[in-house]
Amino acid sequence: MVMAVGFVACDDQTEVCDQVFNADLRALFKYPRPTDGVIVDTTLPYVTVVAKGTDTLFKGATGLKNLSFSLNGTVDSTTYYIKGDSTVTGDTITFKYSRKPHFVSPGCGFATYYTLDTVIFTRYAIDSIRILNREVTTNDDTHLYLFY
Amino acid sequence: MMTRIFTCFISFLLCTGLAFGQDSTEVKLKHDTLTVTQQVSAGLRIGLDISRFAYLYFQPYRTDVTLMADARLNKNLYVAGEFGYNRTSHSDSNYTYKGNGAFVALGIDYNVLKKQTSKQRNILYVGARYGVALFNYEIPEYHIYDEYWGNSSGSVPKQSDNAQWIELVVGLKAEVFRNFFLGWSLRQRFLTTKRIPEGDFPPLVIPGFGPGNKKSVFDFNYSISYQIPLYNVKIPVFSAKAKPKKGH
Repeated sequence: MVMAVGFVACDDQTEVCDQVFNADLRALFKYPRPTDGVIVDTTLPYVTVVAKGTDTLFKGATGLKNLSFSLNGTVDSTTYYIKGDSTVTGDTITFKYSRKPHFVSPGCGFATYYTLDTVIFTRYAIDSIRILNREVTTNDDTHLYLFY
Repeated sequence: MMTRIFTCFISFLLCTGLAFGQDSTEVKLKHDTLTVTQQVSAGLRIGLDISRFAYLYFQPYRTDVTLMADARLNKNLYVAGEFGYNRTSHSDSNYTYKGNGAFVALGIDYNVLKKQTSKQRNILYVGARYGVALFNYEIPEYHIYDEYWGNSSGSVPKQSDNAQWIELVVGLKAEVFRNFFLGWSLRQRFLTTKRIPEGDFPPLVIPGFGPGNKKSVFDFNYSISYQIPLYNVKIPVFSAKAKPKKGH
């Protein structure tokens, strides 16, 4: 029994990474209902997203209610072009943030955590942006609302 | 020179063993009370925790050496402690880690084994310790992989830290040859110092405590030890009060 107990105490922590630790900025699409002005979820019908300086993330994705923006861990800002419908003009959103390395676990190593500073955007289709949570440390949180 | 020191040390052990290894019985009658006590050889028991060497197999990044010592104070009470050294070195595709440090844990053990003669020195004990570790650690390099934006790298400079904990122990030590003991113990440790602040990174190993990212840790030990007989302890073996005679 003592031997078995000993083996339990001897587990190698550096072997296993059992945590998801990508930290993406998650945005929900919102829309003020014309009849009563209540803010409700909305769906963008035909979404194209391009990260500045890289490839297109989505082209013609339909029925999106939210979007996760992957932030660039090598610089302090990331710019996206987002177009919600083929008939409207797209907007540019720039996220400015600070970065810090975070030790996730002995098995997983490090990840980059972000603190959102400001969001700069054009207003062709986007009406406004509300920041809900500036700390971007998980994929699960909702960090901002995009109002259309 | 080393041979001479070793010879002197062995001679010292043998001489002290002869001097204090003689048990004797003492009978006292005081105030109508008969007390029988026995002088039992005691001393400083020094041991090596051989379970630490198993860590080299299960956790290859750890190198631990732990020495254990205890000394009998009376029939059931022992002052006990452990001290040791840890070196941690780990490297994989995510990061490289280097750390080292030392610790000391002091406390008491209480023998709960009742059914044995006064000459038997096996103990089944419960005990407690307070431990302190001083250590330093660093991350010479780490890598964060991102297929989309590109990888990033960095390092975290060497930092010194300390940790303190409370430890509960249960175990036994059996005398397999005269003055030679084998034993094992189970230990639960509770960190009393504050946790590592968010954003910093905890040590991979706190010397003497265990994983640096946990608040409480379960551990076990196997020990081999030798008791250097240095003194005798009086053990009461019998006590009775004389009954007054009726009619007087």
